[in-house]
Amino acid sequence: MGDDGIGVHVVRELAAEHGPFPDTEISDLGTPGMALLHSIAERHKVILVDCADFDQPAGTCRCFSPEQAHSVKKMSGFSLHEGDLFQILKISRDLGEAPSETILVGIQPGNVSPKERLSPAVTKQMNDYVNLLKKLICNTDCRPCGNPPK
Amino acid sequence: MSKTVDINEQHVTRVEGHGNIRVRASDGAVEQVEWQVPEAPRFFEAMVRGRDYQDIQTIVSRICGICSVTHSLAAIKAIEAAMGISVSEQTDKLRILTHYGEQLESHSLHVGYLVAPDLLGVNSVLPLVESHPDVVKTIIRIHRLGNDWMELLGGRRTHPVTLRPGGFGKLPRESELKKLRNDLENIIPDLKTVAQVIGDLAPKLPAFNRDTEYISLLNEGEYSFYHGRIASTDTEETKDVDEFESVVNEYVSPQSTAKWTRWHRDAYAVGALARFNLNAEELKPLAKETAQNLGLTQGCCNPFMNNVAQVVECVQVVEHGIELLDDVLSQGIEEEVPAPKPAPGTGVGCVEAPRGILFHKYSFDEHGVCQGGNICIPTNQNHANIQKDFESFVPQIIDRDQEEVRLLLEMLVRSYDPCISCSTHYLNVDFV
Repeated sequence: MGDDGIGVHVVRELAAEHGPFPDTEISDLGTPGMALLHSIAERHKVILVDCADFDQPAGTCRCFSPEQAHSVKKMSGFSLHEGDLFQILKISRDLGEAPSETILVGIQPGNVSPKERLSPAVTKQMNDYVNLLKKLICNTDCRPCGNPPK
Repeated sequence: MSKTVDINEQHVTRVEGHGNIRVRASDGAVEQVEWQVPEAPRFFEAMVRGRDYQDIQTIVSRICGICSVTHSLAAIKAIEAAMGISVSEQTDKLRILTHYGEQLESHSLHVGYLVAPDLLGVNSVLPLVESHPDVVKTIIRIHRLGNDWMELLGGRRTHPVTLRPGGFGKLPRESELKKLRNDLENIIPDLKTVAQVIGDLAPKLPAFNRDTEYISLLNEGEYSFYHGRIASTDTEETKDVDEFESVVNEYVSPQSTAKWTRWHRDAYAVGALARFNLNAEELKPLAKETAQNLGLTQGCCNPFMNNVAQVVECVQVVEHGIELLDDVLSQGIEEEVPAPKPAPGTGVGCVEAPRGILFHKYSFDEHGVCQGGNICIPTNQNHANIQKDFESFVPQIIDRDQEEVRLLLEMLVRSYDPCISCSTHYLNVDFV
């Protein structure tokens, strides 16, 4: 993976260098499709970090709630791993088992071609992403607003 | 009546991997019927060459995110057979239990998320959340239990880390097994609900029957997923799993990047219906009752009933899982540390994946370094049979509307629960 693997790199960094956080589970969820429902069910708070295309310079980070965006993803229907995060979150709400709070952290990719490392634009901001995650986990001075974190 | 049918479906949805349906007919005369597999090759047999025997199951688990326990177990059994490693009764039972978790997870996913939309007239499970919320909730509860079951024994939901040659890297605690037993007991009403729903919808399954050879494991005294010999509905002769290459007889078809197989006929089928046809008398009482209620009888050769057999197997693995847990708990968990020693040799491992019989074969040198592998997965054993079903089914439905023909053929493919990505080996072909 190229920058589409940003979530994996962030959770590794977070878990290895900054954890553990009390009452917090840090997981690489892979490409779970419907199985995401099981991972988030009835959690107090869920923070999902992934690469997201919102037409900004590579490395730009946005922190937002599901209500602050809508998906324009087109599903091919070819893969069991395929899933639209927003649809899964809606199912979770419809089933009455959604987390009390869901925060999405999207990072604009620079390169999503088959690779084994992140692009320089994303790599150089890794510390910023991790610090944002730490604030979100610890609830300090950070709320999802849809704008780049300060 | 002048009617032309021209179906060129690329690719079939709600299956794992890429498969195409090609049908051409003019004036009711069928000119071309093909089940094509264009999926890219995976090279797993090349990846394991030169690797330490302790790494093999970790690598081949990645063949499939749905059957990862099955691939791990088949590889471990092959390694143990090659090196003469024996395991304890406790390990054997815990492995079967881990495997049952995967059967429940996979079958509930397939029947609930991928097949139910066909029977309820929608194109995915998503609309069912609004139209049939209680059914979806029930399916999700069962699917979740399958995931949790695998996570408890395998160390995580997919690609297990505790399964090792010689035993378990980490054993579950008795308290965890007691909770699992309780969860299995509590899921039975949900399984009955799903069986009822599928029973109500089963009349919508096409009444298509084609005399078919079915192949699965057979082990006296049990409905076998893990132990036994290779059996066929065509003969009473059974074969040792070491002889699997003389059963599968792999060959190349120009319409497929996956190899095809044949034994006594030009094709055979594997999977839940094959296991049921060869093992039905060994079902546990509730599973047997479920089969009766669903109208599934031994000797059934309607491929669409494979999905019904999967529901019966969900009940079977929960019912037998409770028995196995009682057995393990009554003995108490004994701490064991796997300490296998590498040895040269060649071995075969055979396990029933949710979608049919699976073979792994590896050779090792005296240091335990893998010299070569051969993996024959269930879906590539089903490809030729899907083609034969197409050839028989299409003339029966060719007068119907083209979209209906397309949907029925998609449903036929989906009934096999194919894992196409797993089935592909390298081959260069040009599709005509």
